[in-house]
Amino acid sequence: MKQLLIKCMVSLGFVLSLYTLNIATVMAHGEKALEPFIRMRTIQWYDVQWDKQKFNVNEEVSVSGKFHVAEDWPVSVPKPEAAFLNISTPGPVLIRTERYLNGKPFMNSVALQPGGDYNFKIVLKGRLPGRYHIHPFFNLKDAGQVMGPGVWLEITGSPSDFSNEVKTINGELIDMETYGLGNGIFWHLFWGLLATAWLGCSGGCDGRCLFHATECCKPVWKMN
Amino acid sequence: MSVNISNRSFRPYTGEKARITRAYDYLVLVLALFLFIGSFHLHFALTVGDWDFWVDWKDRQWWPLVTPLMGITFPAAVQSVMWTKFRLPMGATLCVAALLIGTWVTRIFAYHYWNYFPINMVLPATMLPGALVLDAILMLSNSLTVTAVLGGASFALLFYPSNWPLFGMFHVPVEYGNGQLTVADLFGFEYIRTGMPEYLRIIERGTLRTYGQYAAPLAAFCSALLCILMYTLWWFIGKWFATVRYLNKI
Repeated sequence: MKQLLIKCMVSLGFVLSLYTLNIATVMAHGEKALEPFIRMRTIQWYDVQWDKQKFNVNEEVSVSGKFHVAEDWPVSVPKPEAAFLNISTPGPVLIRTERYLNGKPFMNSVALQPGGDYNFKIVLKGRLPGRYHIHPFFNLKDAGQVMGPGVWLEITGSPSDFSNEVKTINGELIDMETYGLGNGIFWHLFWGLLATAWLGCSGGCDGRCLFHATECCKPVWKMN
Repeated sequence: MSVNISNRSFRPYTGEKARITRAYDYLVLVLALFLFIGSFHLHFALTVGDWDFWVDWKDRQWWPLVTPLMGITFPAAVQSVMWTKFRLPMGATLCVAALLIGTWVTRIFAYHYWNYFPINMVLPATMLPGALVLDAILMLSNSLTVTAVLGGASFALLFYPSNWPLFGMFHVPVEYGNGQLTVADLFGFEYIRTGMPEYLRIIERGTLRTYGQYAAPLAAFCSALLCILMYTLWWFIGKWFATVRYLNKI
């Protein structure tokens, strides 16, 4: 009986392993898996267009379109009192440089009015080369994410071409990719060296070397 | 409450016995280091979390309150063991150093190489100055009460000023999109996080802004008071975990 069971398990394992020969790439973010009452009765996207779908690192691309906020917003979904127009990406492969709602720039979250129609525009800049499936979408506070239509974007070029310089109010031009990094590493190393010295001193010398160097390094915790 | 110091005399092992016990010690120490890195890092990621992950979460109200309060836990427990059992005043520094090793590894490999965030956006804060003071106070005072009150308070009060040289520059304002942001805010806007919309940030929420520029010191003093209690609690948790009661039965 045991032998039969082992044979069955091995056969099953062999059959299942055949599935690994035909692994298909996941082609979307599961937007069609959203519950119908979220997909159809909250944010309804239309006329969404990208100005291009193939571009270089450091080149700008924009997505614009409209959305309708449904009048019959489901009772079970919190009202869109804090909504954030976002872009679904696999990490910051693009950066968001500008964003407009009804022609006005906005940096933060907004409250949407059920029954309202809005137009939007988001300007992005290519950062990492690759082929990505990208959506505009809304993060709705306490409700979750409502996906807009997705497209495939192809970013070409080299990652080293990317630069993101911003002018501060002091007039200084800073590179967002490296700003403050050297300073941060310096301070971590500074405190790390002090901590290492303390650990070496107090750990190796029972803490007494600070005051009695000659008493240093007597192991007190080996009891005979 | 002072810790009892035994008056018994000790004689070190010699020869083969010493070599074997020392080899065993090193084995335990390496394993303990990984234990400290893993457990404290997990605890810190689950409790402080986004305040330490992202530069745009590092505000003057919640960040200096939450970080030392959650950060003093493991140092207190490990100090309790290291000091009472081994007379080593290094528990806090060891814990925080282990945390920083784990944090830097994840920031570089998980956040930067895996998820493409620039490292300056996910720079970790440091608690090492507070940990050094905590260890020094325990060593000098040999007292739980003094270490909890002075050390616990110092741990919290030193956090914001010792991190200001790292993160102050991210508070420089930028005019952007017809508004004014800090450089840190701009990181949050530009570098896309799909699961981290702006409204999720728990920063500057509450009424402390009523006190204008005093929000950070007030948050720090509140944290100092709580750290005194937290230190004491975790000292006893460490003591409880370090029991040798069951070893006697082996």
